[in-house]
Amino acid sequence: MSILFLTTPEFWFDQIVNGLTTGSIYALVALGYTMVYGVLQLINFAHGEVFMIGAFAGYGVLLALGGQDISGVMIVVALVLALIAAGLASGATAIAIERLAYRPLRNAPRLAPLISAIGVSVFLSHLVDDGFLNGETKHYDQIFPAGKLSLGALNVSYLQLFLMGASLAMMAVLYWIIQRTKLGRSIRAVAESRDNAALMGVDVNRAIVATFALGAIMAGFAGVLYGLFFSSIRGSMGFIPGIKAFTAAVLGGIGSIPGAVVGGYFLGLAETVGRELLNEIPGVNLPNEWKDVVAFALLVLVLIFRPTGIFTQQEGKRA
Amino acid sequence: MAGATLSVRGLGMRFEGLAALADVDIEVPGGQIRGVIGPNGAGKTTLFNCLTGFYHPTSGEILLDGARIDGLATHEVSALGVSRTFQNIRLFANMTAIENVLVGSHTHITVGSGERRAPRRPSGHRLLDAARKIPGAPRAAGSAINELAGAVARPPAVRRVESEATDRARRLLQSVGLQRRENMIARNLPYGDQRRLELARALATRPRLLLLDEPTAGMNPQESASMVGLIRRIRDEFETTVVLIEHQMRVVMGVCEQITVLDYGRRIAEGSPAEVQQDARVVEAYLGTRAGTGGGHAAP
Amino acid sequence: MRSLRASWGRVQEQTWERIPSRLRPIVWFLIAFSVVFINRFDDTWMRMFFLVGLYATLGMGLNVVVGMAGLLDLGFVAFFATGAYTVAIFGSPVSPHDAHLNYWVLVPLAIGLGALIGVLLGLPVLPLRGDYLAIVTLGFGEIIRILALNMNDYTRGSSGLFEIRKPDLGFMVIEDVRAFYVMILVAALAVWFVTSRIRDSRVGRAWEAIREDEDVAAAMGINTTRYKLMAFATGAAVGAIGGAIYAPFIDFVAPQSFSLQVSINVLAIVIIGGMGNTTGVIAGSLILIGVPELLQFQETADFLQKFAWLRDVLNPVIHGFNTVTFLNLPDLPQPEDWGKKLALYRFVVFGLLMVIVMVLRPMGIFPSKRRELEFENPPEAELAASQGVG
Repeated sequence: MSILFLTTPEFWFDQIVNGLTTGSIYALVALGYTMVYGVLQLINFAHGEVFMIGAFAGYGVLLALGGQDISGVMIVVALVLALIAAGLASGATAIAIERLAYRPLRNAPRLAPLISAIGVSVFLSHLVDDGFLNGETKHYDQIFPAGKLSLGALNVSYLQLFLMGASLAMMAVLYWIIQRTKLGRSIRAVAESRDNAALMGVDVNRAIVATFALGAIMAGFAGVLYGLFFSSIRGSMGFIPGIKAFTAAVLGGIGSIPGAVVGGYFLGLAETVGRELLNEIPGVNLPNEWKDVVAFALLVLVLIFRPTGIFTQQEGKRA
Repeated sequence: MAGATLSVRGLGMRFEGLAALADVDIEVPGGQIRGVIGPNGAGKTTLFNCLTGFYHPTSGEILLDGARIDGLATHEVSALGVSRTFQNIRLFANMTAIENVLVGSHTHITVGSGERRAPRRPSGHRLLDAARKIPGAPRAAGSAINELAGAVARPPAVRRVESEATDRARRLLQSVGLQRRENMIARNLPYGDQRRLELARALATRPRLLLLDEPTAGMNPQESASMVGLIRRIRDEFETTVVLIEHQMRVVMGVCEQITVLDYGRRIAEGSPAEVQQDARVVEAYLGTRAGTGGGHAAP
Repeated sequence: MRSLRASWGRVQEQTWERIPSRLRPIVWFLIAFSVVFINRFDDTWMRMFFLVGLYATLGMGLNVVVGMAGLLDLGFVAFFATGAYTVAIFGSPVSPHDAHLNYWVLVPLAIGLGALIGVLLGLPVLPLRGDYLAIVTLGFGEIIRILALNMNDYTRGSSGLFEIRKPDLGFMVIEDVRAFYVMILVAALAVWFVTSRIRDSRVGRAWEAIREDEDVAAAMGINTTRYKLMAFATGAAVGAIGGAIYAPFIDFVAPQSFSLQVSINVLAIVIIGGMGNTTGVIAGSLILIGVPELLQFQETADFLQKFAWLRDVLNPVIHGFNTVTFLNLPDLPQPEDWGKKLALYRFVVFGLLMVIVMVLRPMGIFPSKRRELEFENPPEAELAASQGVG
């Protein structure tokens, strides 16, 4: 019992900060899953690859601007440019996927768009890995100033601070778009009922494309943040974060935007803090890979017991 | 026996605060042909969905020959003898006509004891219901393995029930006039034949209560008339109670012995065709303030 | 929705009606050829034939799940791994849990375990909507690999298990790649027989009905959860058979062999070959597994050497293009490497094909389950007639 106190408060604060950091990446990616599901009831299996494309776009920009040598104000400029490039690349990819692989199948049997989505996912990840990189892994340059903010037992590196802050800001902008703009209203209308929205004069196709694009932009941003934090990127990098982000979306109640965000942070914390808590039990020593198992177990449990999500009322509120 | 009696008592169905059905009472004696009419959105199809276990009603009870069937799973309700057709035809589109009918015979193509326990009504607690199934799991697994083994080995008993089922399916196709269509893919059948095939499939389940959702929708007067004859014949030959939703008044008045009228999810009238036609509330529901919506006379 | 599907159906029937029945002799000829001339092929070729047979077997298993019952399983590798590890853990002297059991005792155990895991995995998810199954199986395929990597006490982690006991027939031990090819061929035929028998039964009809319209299937009295579980378990059992044959063949069972790629391979074979169609699955396996293997052969490299001149023609074009566009495209590789390069891109092609097939031909390149009826699945009329006599 007392073992819990052998580990220092610093240790637990670190775990929480780590959890929130990965959680913000999950949340950003989960938004795309939940929005697309909200309007089309489709699991966009290629979303993890859209995230990967963003990571590579950001990587390319940072490399072009000097890589390791970027310093001073240029760091800010480079980061902003990398994020913009990632958003554009991911958004464009998602729009192309929607147009070529999903739209022709919108009225097809349920299985068809799912299989098409998997095809896109396989194609993109292997195109990057086998076609361009020959299986190599690329590494983001560590341009972000090292160092950390310390408040007593709480230590947060500047990079983590940036990650959490930036993702919160992005989600706030997205929320504003969805709630306050005409485009957002049309998305919400289509999510509520495609037929009724069409009757009310909403351009359904435009709303669907916008949904894909907005979700993809968030995923692209997340790709850059992932690269900055974890450094190594490759074509298949989207697979595990993709499954996790989907889990986050299901945890929060798929279709719900706030749910995806909460689900993302929850999953991030569950993986890090949850694993360490389990490790406190004598005789248990879970290696790092087990956090994938934790996420997956959570997904199955939620699907069985609360298919509408753990934070929602029984009537799942849509985006 | 002449079909099952159906008792619906205080049936209510709410969707996110919206009442699709409220306090509906219906008594249908065995062997009757009952019509359910009402303007669009009156809750007719919702009623059918409750009767067949597609929906679990939020209040009230449904009894078939005195036994509760509300809350049971769709396949359990079907096994107790409730079968239906659909407003927008829902055949197994890529299967042949006779395969569609054979799927309808599913529960009757069994070998051996065919013992069947009465299904248990769920408690409403997911965990409790799951736990209740655990003791039966080994037996369920055993019967599944048995069934697969029978399918592979095809012992004489399996072949016999299969060929009996095929004969029966062929007779059913014949009785709805599709004897020449048995190997056609369902989606390639003409519209009227698709309706007939759906009826044959529903009959294959050996229903004691047959629910027909707009059986003559989209048919011309001639086809409708022959469908009316068919429905009567089915009731007599197959000894089943029939409840049908219908918009074409000629059909309703021609075939139904009693009529229940729904409006806004409530029962507003019930009686013989003549009585219902004269009922002030019915006239108002159909011709009154909402006459322009085209509710009662939608069939083209 | 219905009319769109129907019009697709019509297009398919008009254009592709006769393809599978034409394809069928080719497929069977290739199989017969590989048996008759079994001693003419060297080990590389036999290895390719073995892999084609293995993936055809796995494809027939997944076809039960995806093609017949319409359940999208993205973690088929889990059952393949279950079969391979069962045989390896209990049948290898290097394993910490060697049970000293005969191979033939372990095969039914592998099949049983595969089916059991299929049921346990499907039980919570199958009553839910289909797309949840896809994501859960996708995750589960990955979990199995992580488990295999970390459960060192059983699997020896990434060091793997080897020296797996070979199948002993009494008069001979199956060691040679030729013998393994014949073994997988027998297994494939058995699986083909079993799955097509089931498809033509009440069970197969129930699966098809569920695939076509789950709600209506339930309204016809079909316990959809039960039949979905049966489909899932049947597919899993076949996956385990594949694994149990693969383990002694490859003689090295380690987590890296059980990646997502295996699941994608099998799924691509089923989808591209044509869902619900056995000949399509075999053809799919020949194309998707056989061709990439073939491309890596020395013979292929030797043959491609003849096209060295293409390189001399095209390289200047590439250089010119680079100067104009400021791009930096690399030269063409040496001709003998072309095959290997192409083989490397197989998954890029698979992914693309899956999308194209879904968009243009949702029933697969070799579709028409209906045309197949004329062969494998006599119309119920004849079936009944023949049975009535017998």
